[in-house]
Amino acid sequence: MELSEILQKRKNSKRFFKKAYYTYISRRREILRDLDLNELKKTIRRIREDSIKNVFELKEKAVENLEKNGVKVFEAKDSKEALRILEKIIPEGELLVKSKSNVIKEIGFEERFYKRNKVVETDCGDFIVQICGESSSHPVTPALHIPLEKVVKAIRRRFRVRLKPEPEEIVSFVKNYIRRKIFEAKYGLTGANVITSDGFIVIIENEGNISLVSKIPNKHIIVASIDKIVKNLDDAILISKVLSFYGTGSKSTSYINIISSLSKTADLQKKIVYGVHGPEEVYLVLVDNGRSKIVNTDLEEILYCIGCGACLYSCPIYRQVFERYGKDYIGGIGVLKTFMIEGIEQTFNSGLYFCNLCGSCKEVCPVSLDVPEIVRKIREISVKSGYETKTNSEMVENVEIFGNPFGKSSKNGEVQEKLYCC
Amino acid sequence: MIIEKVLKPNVLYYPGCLKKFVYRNLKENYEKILREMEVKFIEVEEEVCCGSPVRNAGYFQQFRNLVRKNFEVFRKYNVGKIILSCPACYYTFSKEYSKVCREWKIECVHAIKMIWEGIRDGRLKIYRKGRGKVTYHDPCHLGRYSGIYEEPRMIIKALGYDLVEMEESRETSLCCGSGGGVGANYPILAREIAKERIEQAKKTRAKILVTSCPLCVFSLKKFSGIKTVEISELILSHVKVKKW
Repeated sequence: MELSEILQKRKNSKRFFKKAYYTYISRRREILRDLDLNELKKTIRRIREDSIKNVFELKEKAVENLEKNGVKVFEAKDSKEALRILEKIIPEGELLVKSKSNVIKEIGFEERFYKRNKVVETDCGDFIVQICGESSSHPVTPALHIPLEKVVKAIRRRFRVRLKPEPEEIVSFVKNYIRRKIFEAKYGLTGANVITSDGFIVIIENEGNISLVSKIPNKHIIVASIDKIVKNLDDAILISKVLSFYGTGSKSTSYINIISSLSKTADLQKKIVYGVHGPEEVYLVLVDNGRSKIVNTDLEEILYCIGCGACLYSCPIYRQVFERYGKDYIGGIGVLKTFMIEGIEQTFNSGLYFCNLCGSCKEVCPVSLDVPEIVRKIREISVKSGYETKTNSEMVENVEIFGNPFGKSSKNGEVQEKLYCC
Repeated sequence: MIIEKVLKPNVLYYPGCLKKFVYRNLKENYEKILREMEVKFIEVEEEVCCGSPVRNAGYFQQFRNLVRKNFEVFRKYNVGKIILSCPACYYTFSKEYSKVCREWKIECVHAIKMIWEGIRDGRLKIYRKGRGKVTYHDPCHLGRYSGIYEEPRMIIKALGYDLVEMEESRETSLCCGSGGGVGANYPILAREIAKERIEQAKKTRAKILVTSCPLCVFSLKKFSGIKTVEISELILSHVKVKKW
């Protein structure tokens, strides 16, 4: 799609975004006001640095501890392998209830499983995105850009139910539908926000769908990337809180789910029986997808991201084109993750040269992730691999020949049409 | 006297390509103000682009070549200090050059800091006070990249204006839209961002939008409803300078 077309299409989204943005910003400001922000950022940064630098050791411990508790752990080096593992666990045609997860999106789950199985998205925003045939525009609030009228229309078309375009009415309908499906399903699929080396899986949420998806179906499958592993529960809880501060502008999510084992009882003659009210089987699929490769390189910082999405709200480019900036992951950081996962060609095509390098993301980021500097590094790789824009190669040629980016004609002092500077 | 001339390092004014080749009036503005403050400086023809757009576009080898070229030129002219008025050049010279050129030890000062000191110490005389609301747009390379937020604001206030802030300013300032090569590579995208910034400026009910970067001026000037000026233009309408 041409950029002009994207801009035209996203005009409406901008209005909704602005409203959501102001609510978010004022809430976040209020929460952060009472905190020693510098101290908090330093602590989170340290936790992330330590966990990534020791990721292999932490992963080994986590796997060992989780397996001890009956969780079946699989490691997938890439998306293909992750999908293969999931196909082995989940029989074809089976109803599957799923909560929101970026890594599940990353491995190409939707493309493969939406056809293979009946998949019901249980996150309200994702459900709406799914039935409207849209794409998610924010990692935390995916339906940010969809007008209520459109939601109501999609529900009418799909379920033959007439609703008023009011959030309460929509949520009530969506909730009842999803809940029925959760009780019907044998397989529940979720992501994880943090995993600890001593064997805890932490998943945060506001809606309560994850609590249900992870407990009601007989089998719970968790997909997470290896960078989610930290040392202990203290670190995990702090990250969960910060995710909530920065992700939604709230003091805490409604629920923090902590899973360490299967559901069990030993009430009858001390014999352990698995699968009481929670699942009988818990699976964890740990996805690498290019992550180990950048540990201990100058791109390692990409992995410090906790995925709160705060950077997007302040990003000048995201505010114009939304999910069209990046690929499975959105925004400047999304472009960086695309490089990590898919390499330079895909990265070049998903907005590598969109970034203004303005640094507003780094400013708001809870780990002060220096997106602009890493964007420059990946642009260097791009240039070296032969992916450059025509404008840029012209500019560099001008600089080499004339010593300035505008070229010879600029000598007469007229304002150039293309002012390549900054 | 001759020995002093040989040994004493020169102060160089580096206007940057945009001021040198496109917005020449802005280059002259800074020259006038610096002379009025009796700052002695030289200007040289051989200097090349600071390398900021080249580095930002990912051409690191070409960036290193430019650093080398400029370093040699400055050495030839015995430059000990550079005065800069473009935010990106200022950031690049003061923070990036020493990373790729070990011998680089040239002191870099931003003209706005000097001008503020000139106003504060009375070396620049304000002959006519301004009136009304003015808002200020922080260029990314001056604000977030270099930490210069106060001086331009103090100048605007000293000129007599009522400084009002946009909803996103200082550390959280919104980019003018052209930074990072977006202005040249995706002009329609840059324009949409600039439009958003202009809306923020208009919301303050200020009559003038002041900024301190030639590219921000280029980006923001295209819209009606508010007057966009570079800070040297504002200064010169309130500070008298001798004819040269």
